[in-house]
Amino acid sequence: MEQHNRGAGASYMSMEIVTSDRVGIDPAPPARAPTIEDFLAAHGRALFRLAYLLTGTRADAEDLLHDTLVDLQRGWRKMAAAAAPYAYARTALMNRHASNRRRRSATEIPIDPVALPESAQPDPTARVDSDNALWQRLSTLPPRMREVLVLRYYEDLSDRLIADVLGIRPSAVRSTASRALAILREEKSR
Amino acid sequence: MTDDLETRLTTLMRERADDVDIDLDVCRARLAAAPAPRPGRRFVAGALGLGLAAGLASALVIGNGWLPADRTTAGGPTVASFATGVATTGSHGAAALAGTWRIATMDGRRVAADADEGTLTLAESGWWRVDAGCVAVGGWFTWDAKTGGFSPGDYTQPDRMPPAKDESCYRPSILSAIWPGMRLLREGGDLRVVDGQDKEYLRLTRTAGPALFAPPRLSQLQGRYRVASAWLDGRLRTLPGSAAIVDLGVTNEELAAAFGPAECLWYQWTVGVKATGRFSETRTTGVADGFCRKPLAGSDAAAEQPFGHAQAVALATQGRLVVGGDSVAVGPDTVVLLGNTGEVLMTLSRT
Repeated sequence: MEQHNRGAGASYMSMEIVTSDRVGIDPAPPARAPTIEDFLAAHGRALFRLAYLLTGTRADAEDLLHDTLVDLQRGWRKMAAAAAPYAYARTALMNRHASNRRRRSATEIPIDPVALPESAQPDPTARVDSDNALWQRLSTLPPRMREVLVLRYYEDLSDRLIADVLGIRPSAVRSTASRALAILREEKSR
Repeated sequence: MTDDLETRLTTLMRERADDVDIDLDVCRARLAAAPAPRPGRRFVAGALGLGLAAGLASALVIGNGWLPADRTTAGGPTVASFATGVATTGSHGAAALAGTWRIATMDGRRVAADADEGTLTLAESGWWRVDAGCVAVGGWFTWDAKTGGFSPGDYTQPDRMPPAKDESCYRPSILSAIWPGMRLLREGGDLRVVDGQDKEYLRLTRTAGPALFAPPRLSQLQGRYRVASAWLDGRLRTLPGSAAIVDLGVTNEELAAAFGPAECLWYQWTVGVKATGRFSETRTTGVADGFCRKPLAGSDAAAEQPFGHAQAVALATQGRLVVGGDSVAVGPDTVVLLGNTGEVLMTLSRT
């Protein structure tokens, strides 16, 4: 099974600058500024999976990640200078998610799904197992609750960091998480 | 304290996240097609600061792994025909390939022009589709103009396998064109499909159909179109007798389609369009099955009249025609609406 690779931003807190002189091997390639391609190769997977947990569908996750990358590309100077690029991008992704959510709730009236041709691809999440119920309940939570739970249990962030990412108070994080867990427990017991 | 539910949530999220993986090719293609960032203001201090920051970041990156360790730098052999004269207006070079291609030779054997062996359509936006007789597959691709390397992503399984009695219409050979690791090389007006050892599998030639598909410039889409083909009853059907009209209007970054026979508004559809052609949001209003409920002239007198002018469409769909999609590509006097796996849902021809 593939190793779970998260919290890439944390590694930057203790990173070490290693030069070719010190390691005694071939000279390093000429230094160049990191590009969005470099960032995508290094952290694209982690961000995509975070987007998937927030949106619940692969297509929406792709769109969310794409929009976030475009945002990052526009402000690449800030991104390139960020001490913790993954954390910076994660906050950008959360902001974009909130922005999309507000805009979509105000404007989108989906086409009747019955009227559209079925996708050629099967739904990869359509597994019937005991976890599906919990996954389903998670998807019905209000978006803010879901964001808090994803940041807490997937990204493994402290309540204070979650508060920083979402721009709310730590006490609000605790109460939101508490209410979300209560809803999940309540529905589980039904 | 962590209770059972919290443990389950942690496990579930990690498992579900591990079930999905990013398609870097698709992501890169979409990113490359996104609008270029605006040039920054040229403040000397800012430039110095950026240079310093970039230099520091570069040093950190080299030591800490921003640059992926498995980055491939080796390319395929350079092909002389690509050295000059290749138009690569697309940011990932796909413009040189854009268009619809038909099999001219297969394993060295010439294929008759009317044999309907299959077609390969490549859009500048990075979308591809293969029609292999009865089978259609689609997805997104990236292409390296220097090496000819073709990297299909989001490969969709054939969704319309032929019935046993129609096996003769299935052309698996065309599918070799979209195999990972194949190279697409232009030679004269043809396209060669070769593997890593330069063995030629297919030679493709352009069809007489629409030559180019490109990401849309919205201002070019305004106008009145006839529905030339549409996804009906599980397949894409051409509608030579269709009188169904789509008026495409453009406002800011939105595309609005008013659909119906010439004198009626039958269906309204508005989408936000990204630079790649992907729709960002969709709104629909005014759906009616088989009747003209709202005349364009604004008079109520014509309401509820039978849907006579688009009988070819109405009959084919039992009064219902699907308009929708996930993205749009354009060609000369042609607009193509695509589904979420790259399948063509509708083609429109400018009237």
